[in-house]
Amino acid sequence: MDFDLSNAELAEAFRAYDYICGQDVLLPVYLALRLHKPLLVEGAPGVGKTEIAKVLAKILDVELIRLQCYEGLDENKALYEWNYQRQLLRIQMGRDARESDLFTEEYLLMRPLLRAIRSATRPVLLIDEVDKVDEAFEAFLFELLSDFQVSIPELGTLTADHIPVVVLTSNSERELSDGLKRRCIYLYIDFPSPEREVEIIRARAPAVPAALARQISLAMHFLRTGLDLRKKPSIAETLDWAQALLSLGIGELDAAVVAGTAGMILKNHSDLETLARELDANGLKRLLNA
Amino acid sequence: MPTGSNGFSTPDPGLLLTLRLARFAAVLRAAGIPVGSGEVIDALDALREVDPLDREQTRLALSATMAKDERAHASFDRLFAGFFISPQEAASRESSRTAREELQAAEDRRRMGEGRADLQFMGRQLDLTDEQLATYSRLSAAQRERLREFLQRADGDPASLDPALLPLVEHVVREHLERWRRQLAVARRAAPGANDEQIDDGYRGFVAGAGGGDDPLLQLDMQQIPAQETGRAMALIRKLARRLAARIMRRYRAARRDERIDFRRTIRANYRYGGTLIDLRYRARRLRKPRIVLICDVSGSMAKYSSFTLYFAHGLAKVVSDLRAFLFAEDLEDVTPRLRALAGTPSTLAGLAEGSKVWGKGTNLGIALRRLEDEHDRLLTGNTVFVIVSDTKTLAAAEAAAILARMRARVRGIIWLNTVPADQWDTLPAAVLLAEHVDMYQCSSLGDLETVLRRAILVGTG
Repeated sequence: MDFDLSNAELAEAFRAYDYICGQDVLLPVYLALRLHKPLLVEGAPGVGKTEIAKVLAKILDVELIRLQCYEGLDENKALYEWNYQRQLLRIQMGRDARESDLFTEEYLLMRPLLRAIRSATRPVLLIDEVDKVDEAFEAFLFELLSDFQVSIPELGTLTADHIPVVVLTSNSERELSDGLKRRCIYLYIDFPSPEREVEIIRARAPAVPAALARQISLAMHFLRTGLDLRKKPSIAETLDWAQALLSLGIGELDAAVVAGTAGMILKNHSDLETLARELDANGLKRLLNA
Repeated sequence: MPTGSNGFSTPDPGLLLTLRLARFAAVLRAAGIPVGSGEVIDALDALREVDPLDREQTRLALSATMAKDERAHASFDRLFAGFFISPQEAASRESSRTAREELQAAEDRRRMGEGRADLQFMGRQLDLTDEQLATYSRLSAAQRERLREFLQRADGDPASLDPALLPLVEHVVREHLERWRRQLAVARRAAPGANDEQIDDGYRGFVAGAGGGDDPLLQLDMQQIPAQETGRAMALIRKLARRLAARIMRRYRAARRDERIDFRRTIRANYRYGGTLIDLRYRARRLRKPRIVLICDVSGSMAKYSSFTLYFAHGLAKVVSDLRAFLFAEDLEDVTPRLRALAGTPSTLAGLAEGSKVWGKGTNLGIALRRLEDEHDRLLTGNTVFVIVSDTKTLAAAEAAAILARMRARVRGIIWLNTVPADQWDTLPAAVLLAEHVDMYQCSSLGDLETVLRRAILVGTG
């Protein structure tokens, strides 16, 4: 495990794990590692925000601890909870159990944040979709991210032996607090250019012919920028589409192929209708026009 | 600061860099990007980690440490390009600044001459300093006019004039000019660069390029959106409506599960442990998404905002399943089914307007809300969020305020998007009255709507 990678080594490692990106993505990641600061990643769904944490864990060869945020997430689910059932059993087994015996680390259910703090090695902590929690939890989170210690009333203060590499992701559904943003290095990931998307397809699905990869990336670029869709297709959908076309033995896009496989890239009815109208009106002309 | 062989201090490069970054931070702040000293320190640390001669790396390092949201990110590149410039560009800026200053000085001289001619009493020039004359020259036309009027009135009847009055008049004029000079100085200090030319230049370069960084469409008053931009505006409004819906519908608070143990299921589940309550079962909290009731003002005074109102209503109808939409003017009209059925192109939405019975009439929110209470009482539950789009120019405002106060106690929240700019609310008695009972937000441009969404709306509910 080497946390002192140079910028060039980091770029090489990202490429080795098929995460294709430019310096605009790599440099903030590098800075977050060097300056020991959390990395806050924003961008549309499906541009590869979560993937950054996964790749980092692989590169650094450490454990990835993931806290998936959702509406109504509380500290019991994020930090720790006492193992009530086990405590009860202990009471039943030995009537002479003292209260202090029941509140030891043995009876503590560690949730992701506490696990990251107590980890024996330096882990990567991914706090995914942080914009889904409420402001109070966010405030708790940035306190934790500045001190890396937790006070448990029955146990005292637990301090991190190793400061985790923290990656937070957000879909910008809610403005995050200034306090949280101030503590982080910021990275905004946009959809890739067609050229970069070709590289991504070629890296992740090497069997896709270059010409088809080029057509796919142009079509995806147009779908994201040229049509008013409710949900823009993500990179994952690009790759699914490429794989599907490959397994159908299709070497070149035409209007019928796009219409027939549109369900791979657009996942709601009104978007599918929008694409169908576009194909009826212009065929592939605008779709494949760079 | 180190001292050179000639006895003069030579600037420390680290200090120079810090100063330069602090100036850049001031430019960012002037452009609306919040940058604290913590961010400047991070930026300095980041710069130590990158190649100082690589402009691209420098830009990325500063962007990652100083521009921390999507909006800031979008304007950062232009601010960076305008501030960190080549020596040639700096020299050309310096010469254009000198030229600008010379022009300004010539203009000041000309206006001071005018000032001397303007500020006379009994045919004699007042005894004023150059600085006071310069202040006069910088005043607005209206302010200069007021001063001239004062002198003319004082000059009124030549027969009754006493030359002894001259010092008194001079004193009054001087006092006035001094007061304005102080005000101008304060206003100038509040300007972005506080007279620091580097900051001013950086900021000027940024403002000169299209509308301060954001999409120019966001800055336009909604009644001025040009026809050729309608499609884009509609898409933007739909996107914002979707975000508003997400903000309202999201349940951020944690369920209080510790209070809701399901005893029947718990006891049943624990038979196998001999009745010891090991495996607790909780009553699942029913997840109820709130209902949105949208009430759009389509009276005559709101006619110019009609496109916005309709696109907004349509955008919400497409994303919120439990939405009731009403149009109101003198009365209330339920348009929910018709709105859902529409395709959402400008022409079909205009058709909705034409088919409406209340379109373009006078405004009586009192009647409209009373009808809502009478006929749609079951909509008023703790699960309902009201969104009202209106300019508050209504009859029966007191009655409407009383009904809103009643409704507020029954519903989850009332959000009022007001197309009148907030600084004019004080002048509208109805706005003052109604704002007491609702969460009122200025919403005259799409940028305003975006700002509303960035603020914490309906905090603590849910």
